[in-house]
Amino acid sequence: MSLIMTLIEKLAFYLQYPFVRYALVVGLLIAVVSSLLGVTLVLRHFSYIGDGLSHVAFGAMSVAIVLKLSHRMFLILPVTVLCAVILLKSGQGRKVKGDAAVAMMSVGALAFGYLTVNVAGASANVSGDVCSTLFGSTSILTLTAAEVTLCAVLSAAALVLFLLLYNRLFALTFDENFARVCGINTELYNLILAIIIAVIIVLAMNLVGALLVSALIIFPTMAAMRLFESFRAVTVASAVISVICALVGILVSVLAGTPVGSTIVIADALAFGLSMPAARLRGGMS
Amino acid sequence: MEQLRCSNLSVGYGEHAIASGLNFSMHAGDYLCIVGENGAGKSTLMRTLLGLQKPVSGQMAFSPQIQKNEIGYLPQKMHAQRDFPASAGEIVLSGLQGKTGRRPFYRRSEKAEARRIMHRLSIGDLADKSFRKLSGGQQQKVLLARALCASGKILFMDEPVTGLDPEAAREMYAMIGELHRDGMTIVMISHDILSAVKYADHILHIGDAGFFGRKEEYLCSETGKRFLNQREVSCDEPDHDAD
Amino acid sequence: MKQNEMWIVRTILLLLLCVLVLAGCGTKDSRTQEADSGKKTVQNESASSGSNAEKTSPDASGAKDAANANNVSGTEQGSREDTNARGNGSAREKELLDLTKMSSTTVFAEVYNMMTDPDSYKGRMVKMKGTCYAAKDDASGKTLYACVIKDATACCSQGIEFKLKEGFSYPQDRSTVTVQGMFTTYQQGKMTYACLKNAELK
Repeated sequence: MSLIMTLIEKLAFYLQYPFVRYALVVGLLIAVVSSLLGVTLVLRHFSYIGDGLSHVAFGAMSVAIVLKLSHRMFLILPVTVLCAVILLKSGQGRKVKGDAAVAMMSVGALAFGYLTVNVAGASANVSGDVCSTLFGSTSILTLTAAEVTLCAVLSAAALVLFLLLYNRLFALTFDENFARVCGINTELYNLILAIIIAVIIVLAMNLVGALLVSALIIFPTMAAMRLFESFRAVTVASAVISVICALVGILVSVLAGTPVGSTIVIADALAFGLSMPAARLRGGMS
Repeated sequence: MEQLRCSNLSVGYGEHAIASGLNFSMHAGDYLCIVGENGAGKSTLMRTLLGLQKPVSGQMAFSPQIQKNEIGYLPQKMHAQRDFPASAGEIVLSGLQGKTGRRPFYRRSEKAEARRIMHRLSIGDLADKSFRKLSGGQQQKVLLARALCASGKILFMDEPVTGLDPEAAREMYAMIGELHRDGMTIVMISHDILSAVKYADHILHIGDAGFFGRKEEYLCSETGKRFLNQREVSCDEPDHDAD
Repeated sequence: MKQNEMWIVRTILLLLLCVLVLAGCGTKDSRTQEADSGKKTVQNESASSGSNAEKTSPDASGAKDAANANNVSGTEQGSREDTNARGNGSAREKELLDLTKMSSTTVFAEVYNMMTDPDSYKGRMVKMKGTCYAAKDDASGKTLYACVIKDATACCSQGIEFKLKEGFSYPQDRSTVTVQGMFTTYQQGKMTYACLKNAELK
């Protein structure tokens, strides 16, 4: 009991700091949209695209660092969006075609980014920037007010879009050919989806770092798919699981002094691990 | 009323034609079965007609009265859909996407329509069940319901009974027959040639010796006889050749 | 088909979202918006101290870490929210920012924030615990002391220079220290540096 009281006291202590509060608000928003995105990506077998795009975003960020840009997002977002559009267009929805292209882009961007920052980096704190960008050890806690606003607005916009396009996305994800026969402009929606993917990946990098973005996209969906049968239930469960894990991850890292990104991902992995026995239990009971 | 006309149509991929020189037309209320050897290009033809692929050459045109959202499509079984987490009801409802226009959500009337269609196909009680846990026959009925939601006038089906047990196949044919009697134009690809000649009124045979015409003519034609292995089928007096 | 419920769930989610975003927005009104790059501080002295340390001590990599870490704010831009509400600015300025009570993740983040937006923290009493690094500044010939902390994975480190009150002796290089002083900035040439002045060892 006293342990819980101590924890609550400590939490209250931390919550008085704005940077902790912002980290929670932005972190939870990002967790929600990335899990919703994850449902679509996983079911279309595009999970690896998240990884590829986050590496491209890292490469773009390195260039932004070298160029000493004041608002890096203005470079990172367009570059990532462009790559997302290219990747999805060349794949044409067929998973086999695109995976080599994604792998090359992903690895090339990562190497390019790291080389650029090391060779031409103006800031002496190369390892700090790189470390934080790749692993998200403290990036969510060190956002500027402009970044907080941007992240919140973009996440909110993405969430609203998901709600409005929910039925369309379901039709497209389940059977793209059928949707096309119905007269739905699948090209347009794939383009919109590519843009949303890119934006959310860049946002998610702020939470868990470029190397761990995939976890945020894949784990909640996979856990939800083990537990629920309808698309609606899987979507909602995915969002709920992601939010809980992000919340737990941020709070644990703040209290215990662990890197934020990895802690969130471990929480997600645990949720996935627990979903399997939980599913068996449910199956046994029903 | 003519709904579709194809002149000298060649279908295939890129420049390579799999089936060529196709000439046929379709009228409202027809029951057309597309038959032929494996790899003859049946599915390719259907995909081309539906706009999923471009024709290699030739003409193909729907009547201007036919809108895109009046055409239903029951595709071949896809493996990817087997593990998709969705309830039967959600899948059927998605067939209405072509009709919602810009509206993000379904109207109550649309949901009622979907429910009605499911009841008509005797799968009304499966609405909340998981699609991946249904039997093959039930899954096909769900996909048929989806195609019906999407269609108004024409129903395209790619091997609707392949993989079903005889009882389920019989049920499926019965349902399709009922839809046809209610005025739906049916275009069906089938490997089951005996059932095809039993239910259809027109046959389109794709392959080396192509044929298009009424079923009765097909039964008497060289192509038909060879394909049916010279079985004992009633054959009217030899008629003129196909169009 | 429970689409009606879905609609209700969606509406609730939308409302929750608006509430979340508004909650985050609430405190932003009191924010000072500073986009001027000129005001950004570069914690540079340990860069020179780093290079000097290489001459004075054999442990070059450790000093390099400190040098790398302290140049954090070189490229960071944007506005920072004022930690204190506008109303009681002066009262809160006196409030102690006790970093010794925080976990390593939050300490690192807060020091990073201080380096990238020093004006928000000017005048605050800061207490921090870390490793003392001493280095000679080539330009002025003086020895500078910084209190350096590492992040959770210990891969990155950064620190703040501190100047003790008159009469106090500085601790040994590489020793663990707890320092409390007033956060402030000063100019040297073209660069602005941050430091804890009137510091005491605790």
